[in-house]
Order: sequence, then structure tokens, then C-alpha cells
Amino acid sequence: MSSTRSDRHRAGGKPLDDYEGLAVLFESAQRGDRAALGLIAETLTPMLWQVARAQGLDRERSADAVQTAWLRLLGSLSDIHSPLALTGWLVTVTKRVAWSMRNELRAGELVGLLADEQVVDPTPPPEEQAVFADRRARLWDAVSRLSHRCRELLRVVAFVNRPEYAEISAALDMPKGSIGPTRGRCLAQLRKQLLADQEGSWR
Amino acid sequence: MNPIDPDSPRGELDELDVEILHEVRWLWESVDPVPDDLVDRVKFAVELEDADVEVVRIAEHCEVAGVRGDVRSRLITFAGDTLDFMVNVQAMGDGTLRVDGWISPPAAHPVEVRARGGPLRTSANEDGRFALDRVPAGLVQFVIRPKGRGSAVSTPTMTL
Repeated sequence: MSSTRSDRHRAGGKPLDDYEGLAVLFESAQRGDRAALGLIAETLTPMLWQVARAQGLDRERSADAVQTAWLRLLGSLSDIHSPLALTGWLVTVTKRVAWSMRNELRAGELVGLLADEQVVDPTPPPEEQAVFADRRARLWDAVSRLSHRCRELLRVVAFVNRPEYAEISAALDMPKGSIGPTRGRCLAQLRKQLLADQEGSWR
Repeated sequence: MNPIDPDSPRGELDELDVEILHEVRWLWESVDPVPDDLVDRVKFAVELEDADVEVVRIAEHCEVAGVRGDVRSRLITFAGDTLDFMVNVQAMGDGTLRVDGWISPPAAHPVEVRARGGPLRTSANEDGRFALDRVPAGLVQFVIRPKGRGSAVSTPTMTL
């Protein structure tokens, strides 16, 4: 879904809730409806972007890794049995493609380009209100203190709905129970840090 | 006695967790936003009718400023398992592109350039060379369907 920056701020980055809508689109896509597949792509591409970026790949190659996963899907769609499995399949393939691109770059001794999450600039846009900027700085600080794997898991899971948490967690090779019906270790850590931050008033 | 601390990893997800995850999403959307055109590129790419697709990766991409300021060309090299190919894409200054390509190993494979307004088709010659004029600038995807094979070789969709 495309949304403007100000929309996102208002909604606080709300993930899509229409999981059942996705199931209907998935059935159409399996019958060969490419427009339905395009609509699924609108929903899942922002999440897959984070998967690729979390592997430490630059922006251009991350975009290619995401597209490569979607194009490979065309040949595997009939073997995938549910929208949940589709999400898991795309996460797995995107991560694998991003890894192989990264390894290839390393083999070419371009390691300097691949500093882990080299991108990130937590400076808020100038129009952002001070209260948001402060809250984000605190959140960023707490997220930065997580382990690499916990950061990756929460970064990706934040882009999907609750029924998909366990599937995503498995696709990222996280231990069973990392997130799902229970909070899991990673989210518990982040929550604890935020709750300890009285000034951020997360509770 | 409560056997499970509600704030612990074993506690059930509650509204605060959902709120925290919303904010985590908001954080990543602002520090590392998905490129504006990526969703459109993906949607364009998956309209490809082929099911069995080998995706080539971009091995090299360089831009060359033309002699006149308004003409620019790009040289893009794609590498795959079945074949490699290279395209020189020249912006003609009127919203169209000229594409000159070379396929390796050379063979007279059918070549399709998908662009807005529909696919343009040609064939490489025995030396693996092909050329297409008047390709609309914008989203472009190169698809080669090697003779005698069921699968297509495709590039990611690019904005050219």
C-alpha cells in the first residue's frame, strides 16, 4: 500500500489488517490472475524490502533481491498451499537471494560497501514534530541495543499481521516460540527497555 | 500466585506489544523507506506470463554521459546460469530509448523488451546481437526465451 509520509505518521505505521482479503487474492493468483498477484505484491513488498535490507545489502541490490523472489514465485505458486506459506516462502527466498548477492560481493572484495545496516539515519525529517522525534530517538536507542537477530526479527514482523508472526520467525530461522501467541524473547527485551524509559511513557 | 510474569517472553501478546510493533514499523519506514518505485516494478515484473523464470542478476551498471548533454546511455551487464547478456540503452531525448544488446554465448534467441504500452519483440542474430528502437522510457524488463528451452530468462524490472 502506498501512503504518504504524513499518513504513516498519523497511523503510526499500522500493518494491514485484511488478512482474509489476502486469502481471496491468493486463490485468484493461484488460478493465474496476475493482477491479484500484483495486489498481494503491494501488501508484502514493503516487508520483503526490510528482509533484504536486514542482510546488509545496499538499496539497489535489495530492490533486485525482492524482485527476484517475486519472479521466482511465478514458477512455484502452484506448490504453495496457503497465504501464510506464501509469506514464509517469499521471506525465505528473499533472504537467500540477498545472502547470495552479498557473498558474491564479498568474493569480489567489495566488503567495504556492506557495513551492517550502514544506511540508517535516524534523523527525523525537518517537518516532524518534536514529540515524535523524541519518541523515535528513544525507540531507536532501544532497538539498537537488541541483538542483530532480534532486531532483524522485529524489523520484519512489524510489517505483517499477528497470524503471520510464527511463519516469519520460522522463515528467518529463529528458534520456535520466538514470537507468536507468546511475546518471545526479542519483543520482551524491547518492551522491558521501553517500559524502563519513564520519560518515553510507553505504558 | 501467577505462574507467568505477564511482561515475560512467555506472556501473551497484548495491546502494548502491538503498539510497540506499530512503532517499530514506523521507525523502519522512516529510516529505511522502501524505494518509491519498487512496488510498481514488482507489479510490472509479475505480469510476465511465463511461469518458469530464471532471473539474471545485474553484474554491472554504468552510466555514460553522451557527447550532447541530452543524450545519455547506460551499459548494463546481466549474468545468469543459462546465459549472460549486455545492453546499451540510449535515451533519445524524445521519451524513447534505443537498445543494443549482445547475448553470450551467442545464438539467435527471441528477445522481448517489456515496457509500458506492451511488449516489443525481436530476435538476436547468430552473433547474439539485437537492437530495438523506440522503446518507451520508464519501466523496462528484458526477457530472453532461449531456443529449445521451456524457461525464460528475465531481468528485474528497471526504470530506464
